[in-house]
Amino acid sequence: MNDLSPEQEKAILEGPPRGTFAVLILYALIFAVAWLALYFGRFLAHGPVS
Amino acid sequence: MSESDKPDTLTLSHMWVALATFLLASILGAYQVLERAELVPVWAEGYYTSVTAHGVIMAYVLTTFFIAGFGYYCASVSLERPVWNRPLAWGGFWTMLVGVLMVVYALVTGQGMVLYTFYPPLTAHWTFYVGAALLVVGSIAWVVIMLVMPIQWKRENRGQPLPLIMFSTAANATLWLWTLIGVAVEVVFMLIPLSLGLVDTVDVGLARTLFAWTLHPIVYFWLIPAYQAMYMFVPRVAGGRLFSDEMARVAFIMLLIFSLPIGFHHLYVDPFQAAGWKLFHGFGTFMVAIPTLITGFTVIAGMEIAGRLRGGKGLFGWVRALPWHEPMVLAAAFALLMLTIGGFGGVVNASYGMNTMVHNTMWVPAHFHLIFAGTTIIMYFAIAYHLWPKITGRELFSRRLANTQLWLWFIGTLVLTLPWHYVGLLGMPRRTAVMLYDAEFVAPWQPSMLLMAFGGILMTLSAVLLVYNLVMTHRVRTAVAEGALEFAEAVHPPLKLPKPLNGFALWNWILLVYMAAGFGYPLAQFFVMDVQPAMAWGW
Repeated sequence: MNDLSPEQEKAILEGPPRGTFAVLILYALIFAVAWLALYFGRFLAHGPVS
Repeated sequence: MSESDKPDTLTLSHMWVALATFLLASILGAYQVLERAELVPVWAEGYYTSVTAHGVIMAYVLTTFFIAGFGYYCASVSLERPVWNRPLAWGGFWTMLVGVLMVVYALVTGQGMVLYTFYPPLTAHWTFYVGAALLVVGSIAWVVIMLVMPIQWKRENRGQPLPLIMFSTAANATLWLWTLIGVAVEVVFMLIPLSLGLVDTVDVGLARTLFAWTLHPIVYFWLIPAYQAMYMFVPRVAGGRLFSDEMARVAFIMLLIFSLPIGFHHLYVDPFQAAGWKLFHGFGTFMVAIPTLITGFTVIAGMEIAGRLRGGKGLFGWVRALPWHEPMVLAAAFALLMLTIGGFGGVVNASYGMNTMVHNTMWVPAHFHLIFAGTTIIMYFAIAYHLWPKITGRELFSRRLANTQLWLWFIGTLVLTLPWHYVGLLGMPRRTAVMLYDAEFVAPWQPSMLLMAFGGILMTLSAVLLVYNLVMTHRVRTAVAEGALEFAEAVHPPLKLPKPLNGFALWNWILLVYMAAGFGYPLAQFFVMDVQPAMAWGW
């Protein structure tokens, strides 16, 4: 565990979770691309059940 | 708390039933993947009995016993008092155990090949259904205790926020009570009379609708302890804080409300419910994404705080700074990763149109194995590793072995389920012992089947390591250095909360209205309509 000053610790606790936002935005992008690929590439390309 | 009042024996008894049966179910799982890959002789009766036993144990026995044991321990520690009404708790335990033995009788005598669903016309021996009913009745003892203890605590601590672990356990007990209504009505009034020969026939549509009531919220009953560990143990073990106590409460309340009236996404291709009701439940299904996203955000934010307090810098430097040697932290990361993949599969399942592309294919078990084994059970492992030293008073036998076990489970789950998504898209059906199809059609499935077998064996090996590590912990002579069970402190601990964030009265009323809207007419139609399949709403 690093030795942090009380000010540094407060800044971490009160600061916005930038890394978390970045992880979630990255996840949302991958999710959207995968969904679109499946919808257009597989589902619509399949056509109606015959 | 006196020695005899401690929840240890109660917790350990529940958890050892859960873990011992889990080991058996894992071995059965290995048999099933070997059978489907045609690496052992095909034996249809054996396969279907095995699928039933595997599913019943994993879905109902492991979960119910584990959740009850975990709940008793957390309630007792967080409220600093003995478990209320221990005879009732033990009565529940023995009732559940007798129920399990009755189900085992039906299975070992070859009279329980109904998979692990309650879908007539598949019918098992009456002991299967009476046993399942006893399992549910026994679990109600746990529900009562988990609801009485916070009420008593709140009376003595007026205006104080209920500890988050107890609040979320009570949320899960409430959810379980609502969840089991559907299957309980089906089993008591339809399947037990049918299996005893008291009636000649049952309305399959009504039975499937009642099971759909239970079928999806039960997943959140299993999942909530995993989320509890993510919210309250992971930040503590990692050296951080819970990002927000209030957000966690909102997520648990949303899980309670949104997970209930959504079961018709299991019935999208069934003819007896109209399209409008399916769409209603379909929209509800997507609402569950909200508490899942809140959980993902809050848990990852707690981990980020921990990483930064440990010296991590930059946008992602905190990830490297986390204590990855801690099984709790490692398991949480694996669980969140597998939740994202399993969640994607679930979105496809829940999409009204795309569901037809994967309906009843291997895509479906791929999704639920990622959510169940990958997200839920892996956190149960971490909970067991976390609690065992505190309950037994001895150091964990091997932390390295625990981490190896978690890695094996993670890799095994991915190797098992990723090929299942692929063959699901190719149209491979689930739950079949034999593939009596055109050889040319089946040929592309075979490489995936071999991968599946490898993944299943890795998972079974992992299950053996888990049980070995916990058994050996009982024999360790080194006294534990860690103290009592502790929960993560929030960045801003709540001093006072509005009533709806500290209890469930309002949410039960809302649920009553929501469930009546979601299931009222779809159930009533079986009693008020003369002719099937007349549709009251839809086309």
